[in-house]
Order: sequence, then C-alpha cells, then structure tokens
Amino acid sequence: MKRKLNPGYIYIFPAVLIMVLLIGYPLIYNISLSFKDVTLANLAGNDQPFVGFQNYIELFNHELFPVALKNTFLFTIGSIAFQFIIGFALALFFSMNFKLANFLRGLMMVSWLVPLTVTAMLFQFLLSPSVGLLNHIPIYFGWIEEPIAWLSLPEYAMWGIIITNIWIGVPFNMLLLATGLNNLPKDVYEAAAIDGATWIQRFRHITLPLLKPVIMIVMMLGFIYTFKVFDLVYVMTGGGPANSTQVLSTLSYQFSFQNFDFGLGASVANILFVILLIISIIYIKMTDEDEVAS
Amino acid sequence: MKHTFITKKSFWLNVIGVIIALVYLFPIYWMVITSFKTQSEIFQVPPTLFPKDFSLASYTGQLGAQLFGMVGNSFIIAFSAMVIVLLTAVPAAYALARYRMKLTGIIMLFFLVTQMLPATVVLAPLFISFEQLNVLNTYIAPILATTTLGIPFSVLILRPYFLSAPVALEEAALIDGASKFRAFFTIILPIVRPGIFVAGAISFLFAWGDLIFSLTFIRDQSLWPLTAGMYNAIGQYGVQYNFLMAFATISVIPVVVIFLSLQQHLVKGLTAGSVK
Amino acid sequence: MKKWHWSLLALFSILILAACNPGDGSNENDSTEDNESAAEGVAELTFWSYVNPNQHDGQLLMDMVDEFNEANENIEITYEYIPHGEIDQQVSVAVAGGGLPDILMIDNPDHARYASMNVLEDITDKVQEWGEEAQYFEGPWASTIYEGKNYGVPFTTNALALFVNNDMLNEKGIEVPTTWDELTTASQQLTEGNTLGFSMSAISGPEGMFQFLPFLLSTGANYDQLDDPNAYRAMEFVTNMVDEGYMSRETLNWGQGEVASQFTAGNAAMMVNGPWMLPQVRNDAPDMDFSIALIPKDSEYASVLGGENLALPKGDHVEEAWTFLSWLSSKEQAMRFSEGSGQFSPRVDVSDELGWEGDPHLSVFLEAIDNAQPRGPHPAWNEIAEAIQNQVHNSITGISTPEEATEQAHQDVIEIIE
Repeated sequence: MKRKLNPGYIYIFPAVLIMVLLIGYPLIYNISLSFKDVTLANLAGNDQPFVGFQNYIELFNHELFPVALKNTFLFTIGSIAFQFIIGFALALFFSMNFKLANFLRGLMMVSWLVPLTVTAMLFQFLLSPSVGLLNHIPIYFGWIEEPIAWLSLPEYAMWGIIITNIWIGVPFNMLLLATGLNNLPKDVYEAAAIDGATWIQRFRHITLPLLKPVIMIVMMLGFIYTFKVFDLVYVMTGGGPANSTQVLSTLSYQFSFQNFDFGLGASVANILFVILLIISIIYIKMTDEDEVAS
Repeated sequence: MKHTFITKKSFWLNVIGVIIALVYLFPIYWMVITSFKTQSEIFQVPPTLFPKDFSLASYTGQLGAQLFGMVGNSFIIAFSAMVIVLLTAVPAAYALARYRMKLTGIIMLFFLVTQMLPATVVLAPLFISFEQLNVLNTYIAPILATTTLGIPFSVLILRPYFLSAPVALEEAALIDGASKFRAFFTIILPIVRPGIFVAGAISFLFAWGDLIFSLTFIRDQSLWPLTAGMYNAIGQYGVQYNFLMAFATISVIPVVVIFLSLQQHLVKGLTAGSVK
Repeated sequence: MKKWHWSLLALFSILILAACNPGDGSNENDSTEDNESAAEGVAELTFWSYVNPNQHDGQLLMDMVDEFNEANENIEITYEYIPHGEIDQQVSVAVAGGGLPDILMIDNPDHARYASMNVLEDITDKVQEWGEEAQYFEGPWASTIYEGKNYGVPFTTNALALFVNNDMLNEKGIEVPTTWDELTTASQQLTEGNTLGFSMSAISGPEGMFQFLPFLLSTGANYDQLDDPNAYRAMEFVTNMVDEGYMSRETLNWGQGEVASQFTAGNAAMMVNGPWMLPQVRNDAPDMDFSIALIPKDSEYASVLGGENLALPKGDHVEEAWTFLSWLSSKEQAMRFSEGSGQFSPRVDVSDELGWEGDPHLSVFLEAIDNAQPRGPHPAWNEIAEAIQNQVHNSITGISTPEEATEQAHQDVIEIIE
C-alpha cells in the first residue's frame, strides 16, 4: 500500500471536510477570542485589543475556577463510574437469552431519548423534598426519616445531578456494550465451556479482553460528553446552591453571556478543551499500542 | 438460539427483566402522567400516582395544533442529519480501520477533538458561518450543526466494528473478481450492520434532541422542531410543567416506536453478522 | 505520529483561514441585500420579544403588531419570540454574526448593561420631541436612562407584594402581617403538615436577587451599602425562615413560577410574588380566597421595580422602529395592552384611567409600584446579583453566618463596582 495517495484518505475526506468547516472555525475563533478583551460593545468590530494571557491570568486567580474544575471532575468521574458499572451489568443480564430481553433493552433506551432539558426538569421534580417521589418512596419504606433536599444542599446538589446523569447514560453504555457482547465470537466461549471454565473465569479472561476496544470507546465518549456537560446543570441548579454545582461549561456561559466578558468565557472553554485534548491523546496512545500488540 | 421451551430459569429472567425495566422507566411514567395533571395537582403533597382530574388540556387547544408541524420539522432535521452522518462516517470509519495510513492517529484525534466544545461555545462562530452560507432560517442550519455531533461519534463507534470484520472475506471476494465497492456493500456492510444501526439511531437522536441550534439558527417559529417548541411552555416567570411534559411525551413517542422496530433489525443484523 | 501532528494542525489552520476569509467580505453583501428590499418601499423590521405568543398577552401583542403593519404600509414588523432566558445569548450571537432586531424587549435591570455595551441607539432627541415623559412613573422611566441619555421607553411595570391565603389565615385567626416579626410569627403558626407558612424565590442570579432586594432595602441598606450595620438583618431573616422550617429549602432552586405553584397547591400560606402571577393563581386555584399586601417591613416598606422596556438596537431602520415604538407607547395602545393583559402600564394616565385603584388586589400593587425602587441601575447588575445571591445561598445553607455572608457580599460587590 505504498503508492502515491493512500485511497483511505478519499473515504475520510468528506467527514473531515464537514468537521473542519463547521467545528474548525469555531475552535480557532474561540482561541483567538481568549487572547482579547471582548465585550458586547466590540464583539462585532475589529477593535478588539489583544491582551495576551491576561484572561487566563484572571481566570487562574478567580475564586470560582478551582471550584468549577473540581466539580467538573467529580461530576464526570461519578457519572461515568456508575453509568459504566450499571450499564455493563445490565448488558450482561440482557445478553442472557430470554424472551423479553431484546424488547426490554430497547425499551430502556427511552431514558436516553428524552430531550435533556425535559429530563433535567423531570428530575428536579423527582428530587424535590416536598413533592418529589424519590423522597417520598424511601420515606414510605422507612429508609430515610426526613426528605433530602437534593438540589438545595451544597453537599448533595452535585449528587442530585449525577444521579440524573446516570439515569440518562446507563442505556447508552448498555447498548454499546451489548452490541459489543453480541459481536464476540461464540466459538471461543464454547471452547471455554468445554474446558470447564467458570462464569467468572470466562468473564475475566475472554469477555473483558475481547471487549476492550468497545469498553475504551464507551469510556472515552462518556468522558467527553460528561465533561462538557451544560444543559443539565444549567437547568437543574444553575451552578448553585453556593456554587456547589458550578462546572467549567456553566462558568464559561456565565462569563460570556451573563457578564458579557467573552474573552474570559472563551478562556474557560479553552481550558475545558485542553483537558479533553490531553485525555484524548492518552486514549489514542493506548489504542495505538493496543493495535500494535494484537 | 436453542430455547424452544420455557425453562424455570428463563421465566425468572423475564420477571426480573420486567421489574428492572419498570423501575428504571418510572420517571418516564411520571413524565407522561404529569402531562395529564392540572398545574396545581402537580404540586400537591403527597404527589398523586395517577391524576385525580385526568386532564387533556395540555394536548388540546393551541398547543396541540402546533404539535403536528413541529413533529414534522423534527423528523426532517433528524432524518437529514442522520443520512449525512452515515454517508460520511461509514466510509471514514472503514478507511480508518482498513487502511494503514500515517495519519490514522491524528485523524482519530481530530474526530475526538471536534466534539469537545460545548454547544454554547460554537454558537456564535457557527452563526457567522451560516450567515455567510445564507442558510439561517432554513432546515439546513440545524441539520449541518447537528451532523457535527453525529459524524465524530459515528466514526468512533463504527471503527471497532470494521476492525473486527474479517479481512479475509473481503479479500476473497476481491479475488473472485468483485469490485472494491461490491465487496464493500455485499461483504463488509452486512457484517457491520448492527454498528450502522447504532450509529444511525444515535445520530438521529442527537439531531432529534437538539434545542440550542434550532433556537439560535431558526427565527421562523413554523420551522421549529419539537424541542424548541417546548420553550412555549417555559415562560418568563416559571414553567408550565403539564405542557412541558406533554411536549416531552409527544417528542418521545415516535422515537420509541422507531427504536423498538429497529430492535428487530438489530437482532437480524447481529445474527447475520455471526454466521461466518 | 509526532512531528507531523503540528504540521497537520498548521495545515488545518490554513484551510480554515482560507475557508473563512473570503466569507468576511460577503457579510457586507448580506446587509446590502437588506437595503435592497428596503428600497422597494417596505422597511422590514424585526421585534424580539419574550412575551410568549402562545399566551394571552403575547397573542394580544402580536395582534397589535399586525394592526400596526396594516396601518403603515411602508413598515412591516415581524414579531419574533425569544424565550426570556435566551435573550442574552441570542443578542450576543446576533451582535457577533449580524441580525440584531430593530426593536428589543429588555428586562429593566438589564437595560443599563445593554446601553453601556454600545448596542442601543441613543434616542434622547426623539423622546424629547415626543414629549410624553411627564406621563411616566419615575422608576420605570429611570431604568431606561444611562449616563443621562434615553435608551428606550418602558413598556410594562410591576413590583412585588405579599400574596396571602385568606382561608388559612382566617382559620387560625391571624392578621395579615405588616412587619418581619409578625411575618415570622404568622409563618410559624401557619406551618403545619405539608403546608409551610411562607415562600419566596431564592434562586441564584438576578431572579432571586429581585426577591431578596425588597428585604435588603427594608433594612435601610442597598446593594451598594452592604456595610450598613443593619444590612445583615435581611440575610438573617431569610436564613431564619428556612432554618425554622417556615420556608422550604427548595426555594434555593425555585423560580417565581414554582413559588406560585406552591401557593396555589396549598403548600405555602403566603408568598412574595408579582402581579403577573394573578391570572395563574386565579386559574389554578379558582376557589382560593386570597389577598395582596405590601411586603412586611423591617424598618420601612420597600419593593423593587420589575417590568419590561423597549429599546432600539443600532441599525438601518431606527426611524421606522421609533414610529412603531412611539405608537405602541401611546396612551391609547398602552391602555389597550394593559387592559387586555392585566399588566401594569408605566404610564400614570393609563393607570388612572383604568381605575385599578378600586381593585382590592391591583390597588396594592399600584401602591407597591409607586414606592418601588429600580434595581441598580448598574451595567454590571447581573454580576452584582450573582455575587449577592451567592452569599444568600451561603447563609441559608449554613456555609457562613448571615453576618459573614453580608460582609463577603459587600466585598464582592465593591470589587465589581470599582
């Protein structure tokens, strides 16, 4: 395959072109914005003073930056861990052959289909201490005595949003892992069964290694989509109470669209971007080694 | 695939499965039931599990009349976006899996990177681009904007499927004299079909669930999709939950139908893929 | 995959720049296209409003726009609904990419911010020529002025007051409270089972600040006088209401709409809210007997002005936009909208003529409006509101004491103002 132009590039070209045109430009725009002092007054004109790293310096000294950074990681790791574990467990359960398995698995996807804004409001409702069912049910069963004001207490609010996000993300994890499971070669399992391998042995030595590429993709995409979360937090708590749910994307939004400090808002978005970029590079490295190894 | 009799085990599996699904989907029940409540019953303590006054008010009247057009708009946007995504992402994923290219790593990175900016950050620059392309206030703007969610996602999802498809089969077809394209369509595509269903369905949903792009790029309310229409239930001083949930219910129904019917295709695709 | 990472990035950047540069020129072409359609004799204007066209008042406003279009054959105004929470973002996008409306509805505390950003037309001369200023309430009018110049005309006005569920108060033989002490005592007596005595929105940002400010003003302090020795009392009051369980902790996430729903569902015996909630309260709780009172006071009665202003963003059609704005603000049209929507007009002559002083509910709101103070006006009002509400949250959730929270709020506000 060492000829002039690798034909693979032709196949890739349309997809790359669309993305370069539609996302490449916003990317560059945003990077340049972060080095300027831009408010609504000069957002359109050419009169945008270059201020070097001043926005970044201001950001690093801003009291909310470390808070938002910590919250973003807490939200991401909390969400992904539970989404993955529950999603995997359910994928395994529904991969057992029983009549309703496919139907029920499809049905559960519904939680992923509801528009995000609606889910956010729905859970705001369900988590409410006065009318929220997620409080009334445990009280009814005597698990808790007092309703928990999930979204109104700084120590719980983030978990309220994480619970919501887990509910949204589990079916996605389940679907991808389930299709991955279904694609595993059946003969290996049959051979293992003949060799007398237990269920756990088969899971550890066959399922997990074979599923690794799919697991990596699920984790990776999960990380990206969770890390840049906006709608959920914006609708459910707006970053409050007392900034306990302030994440990088809501902070960026607040700087840009509430304070009209677009340079500062862009710098937050870029930090978010750089973090995701670093994680992606690590991921690519890992999959590269993987492919070389296999 | 050899369960012709219902064993005790599979009976209990069915029961457990149903219970899991019911518990999991309870919030959906709540969404639907809320759409049939009156605004003050929604806030009653303790909450009612079933509406006392079963009210259809959220579905009838002015809002109901708009719903029809909005469902249509949502379909046009979501379906077009899905088609564009599949047409571009399938070949790209294929190439990234099959061809040993120097740039594979960087292109993968590029696709990962392009989905990392929160939507609010890309809004203004995209608006400028669309203004120049003269596609504001048309379906094209939200269609293009939502493909940027679907394309990288689908490429990344599809690549492992192509990786796991046996190269030998394709090569055998080529030796038999099939063209590259025929080999692709007759040999490779059926094997990766489940992956394509997943990618297509999820790209459809990305576009279906989009709110912010439509709201920003379309001013003409007659072109609004369902999600943007939900904003009619959100007033300046509060939310009319019953209307909002009615919109949500309507927005979910068609998608559920699609998904459940797709489930059958998924199974077929899977069995086809496993016959080697 | 190492060195050519960078070369590829560079390549992408070049591609992007190449793709975008010719576009910048075509932007100007777009605006000439707009002019061409104007040359045909009909000026096409857009009006961004957050009055929902699916609701009664939005429908009325759209009808009025249609009527104006029919009467003025060389002006065509398109009514575009922008959800309230989206206005800032949509204006930003429009400033960056073009497509600002010709007439823009602005929540009055945001007016100074927009004016300071140089996006609004200075209409001082037009307003003077129009000569209707004397007909307006002072507060709403002041909110349209920035650095001595007029940047708009008030469209509606309102202020907060106390809604009281009479049935609940009568049952316990409680008088309508007029002071904070009475409010606390009444709330205590009314709190029983699922019903809490009192409710107000304490959501973060400007909406919560709108509700907190009357309490702050009542102590004699203001947003820029948080070092006033009594300022902490407002913080202490709301914190105490939550701590004692007279007010739900959820108020930290409730907007004013949710608070009203709590009231109509019978979960709150009293609430602070605005006159725009009257139709909803009557509709959702048709059997409830309720009355309106001024917000109980600490040292003085206080309320805060709310309401919508209309401004003209800079553009090619300012003259036509002004024709519309002055028509919509005329006594006749203002009266029609006020009567049809139930919202208060900022015009004194309209309020007088509608005879709302005789209405037991509306008259109290009128009194509140008369005494109400504008928010700010300050171009950084959003940031100020954000900072103060943050401290309200800190105090209610027990992160800081009311005194500490007030002190911190004072420092944060000073930093923003200076």
